[in-house]
Amino acid sequence: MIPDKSNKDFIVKVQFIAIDDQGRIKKSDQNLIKFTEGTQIVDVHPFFESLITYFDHKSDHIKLDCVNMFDHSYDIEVITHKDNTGVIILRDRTDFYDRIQKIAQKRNESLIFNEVLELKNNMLHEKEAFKTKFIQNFAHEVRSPLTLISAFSSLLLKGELNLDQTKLVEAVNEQSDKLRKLMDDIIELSQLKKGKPEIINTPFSFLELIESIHLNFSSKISISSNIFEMSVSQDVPEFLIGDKRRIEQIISNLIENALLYNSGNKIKLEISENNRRAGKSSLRFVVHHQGLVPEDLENRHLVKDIEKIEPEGLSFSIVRELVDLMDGSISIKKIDNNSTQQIINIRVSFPLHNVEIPVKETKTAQQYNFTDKVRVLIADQNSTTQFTALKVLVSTGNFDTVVYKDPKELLEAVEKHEYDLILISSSISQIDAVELIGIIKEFANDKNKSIPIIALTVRTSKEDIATYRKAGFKDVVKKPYTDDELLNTIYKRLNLKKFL
Amino acid sequence: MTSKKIVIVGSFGVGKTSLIRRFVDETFSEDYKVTIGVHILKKTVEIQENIVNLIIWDTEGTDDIEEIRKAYLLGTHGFIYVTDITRPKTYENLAAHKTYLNEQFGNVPIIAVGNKTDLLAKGSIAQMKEDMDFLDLLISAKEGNNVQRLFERMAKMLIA
Repeated sequence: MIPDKSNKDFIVKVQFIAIDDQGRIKKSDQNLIKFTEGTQIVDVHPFFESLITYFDHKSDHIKLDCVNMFDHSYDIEVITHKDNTGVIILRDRTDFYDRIQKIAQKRNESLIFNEVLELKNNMLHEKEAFKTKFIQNFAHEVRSPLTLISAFSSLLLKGELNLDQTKLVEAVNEQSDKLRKLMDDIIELSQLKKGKPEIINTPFSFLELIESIHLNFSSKISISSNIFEMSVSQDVPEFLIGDKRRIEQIISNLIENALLYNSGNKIKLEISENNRRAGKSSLRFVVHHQGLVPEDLENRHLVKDIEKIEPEGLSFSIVRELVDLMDGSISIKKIDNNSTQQIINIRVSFPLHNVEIPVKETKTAQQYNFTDKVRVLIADQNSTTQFTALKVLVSTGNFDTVVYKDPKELLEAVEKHEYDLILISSSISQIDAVELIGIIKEFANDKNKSIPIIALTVRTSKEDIATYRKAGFKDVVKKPYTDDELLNTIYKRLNLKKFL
Repeated sequence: MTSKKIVIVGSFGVGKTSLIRRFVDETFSEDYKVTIGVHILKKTVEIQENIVNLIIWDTEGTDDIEEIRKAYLLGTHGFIYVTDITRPKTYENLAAHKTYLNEQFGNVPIIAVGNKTDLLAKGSIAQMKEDMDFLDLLISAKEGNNVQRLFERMAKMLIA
């Protein structure tokens, strides 16, 4: 085949340089570089100066590819003879190596870019993990004092207080509730941002839920002399199959958000049905309020870092995450420059046949007067939560309580004495509650092996509760709890007939 | 006067060319241009009344030192192994690469440096020095920190 002469790579210019036994240029065909005959070759370029080191290695023929000199790239051969004379052959391969350079440039830039991206990504993951851990630890630390404040203020309100004292305690109670809500929001949002949300679909009475929301917000909003109105269109399904807690959270957070920015005296919630298709109802929630919301509120969910979300944006960010989770839509509409509508559309399943709804638990604990006192063992090393549980139980007059914070003493107690109930906090002396219940079951006497054991913990995700149940806990009480929440759970798990 | 061949090795993009430019021409460019083959520059230094010609070979960057054309490395008097302190990949094989160079080219001095200290937050260099004690020197080709010292240290080792 006849070579294509137009191909530059094929035409490689070559230069031969003869060197005498003193290292001087004896002759050169000057095809590439102009050399002055008689000049020392080492003075021409540093490359030639370092050639001497090659001959220390007793080489008489050296090939070096892609040596860059005088803005050109050469493949070079150096041949030395026994009489110390030599020949240097230069082949100009600049075009070829320039092309290689361009390819390598692209490749290396892309590799470095990916490397840096990976590093940044790893850093973000580390930062995220640290942040989550921090939030968890922080929540854990805050929940103990909060439990005490909530439970004690609730207890105080049930006692005999004068008007001033009642108002003061009510204020403490209300603020601790707000703090609880804020804590829950922060943890909720951190979980949602982490991408570990749970949707628990169960049948529930939707009308009952919105009635309870109406009742709750009517009294709450009336305190500030405002009105809360709600209109529910008749075609809205009575029952739904969905995540009741999440749906309640969406509606409540929207109203809370409206309350935050309301400058008028009325907040209105409208609930209607867009359509029904394939066993699902498309529901529309519109919350009206006077006044405007910050312009960036709608896009605050785009902020990946929870720490960058302002506190007043928390409720709305949670709504946004939850609506996304349910494949719904959310928007904020400005009306007449002085009022705002928050609009949500979500699709929720509804039952095609009659459904059985579990009986609703009462919030306030029932008052009992036991004839026999319930012997309770509390295992908790945190003096705040230990004191809270103790005080709540003692206040009823129905419990004989004993507290242990040392696992060794605890195990001795369950071996020697008889109890009716054990309450265990998340961990004692570095021993996890799940691990501890296993040891208790092993060391306890026969009577204690069959009594209910309840966990008092901050870890209340679906997985955590499943782990506690599997380990043998009869129930789990989420910290911070109120006196009613603790007592309700205890009464639910005790054989009450035995004590009445 | 004596001439010594120093070869600069290390992964791509660590700043080998920038290091030499800073030392030889006292210049720096933010632009990254991939080196293909080898560039050879020279600078004369005076160390303890000795004049030393440092013939510096700037090789193309590679993650695997065995990929460098062996012909470039023959007759080397000293290696400078350059890493980028912001990219762990550029120093994770340092120990193995030093072993390879020692095995292939005798007991020639090797100085391992971490470049781009200018990218570190102010006040964190001391901590970085502790964390990266496997490096002999932290440098910045951009700001010139420790560049002169690096080549002088190498020259001293070579004439000792």
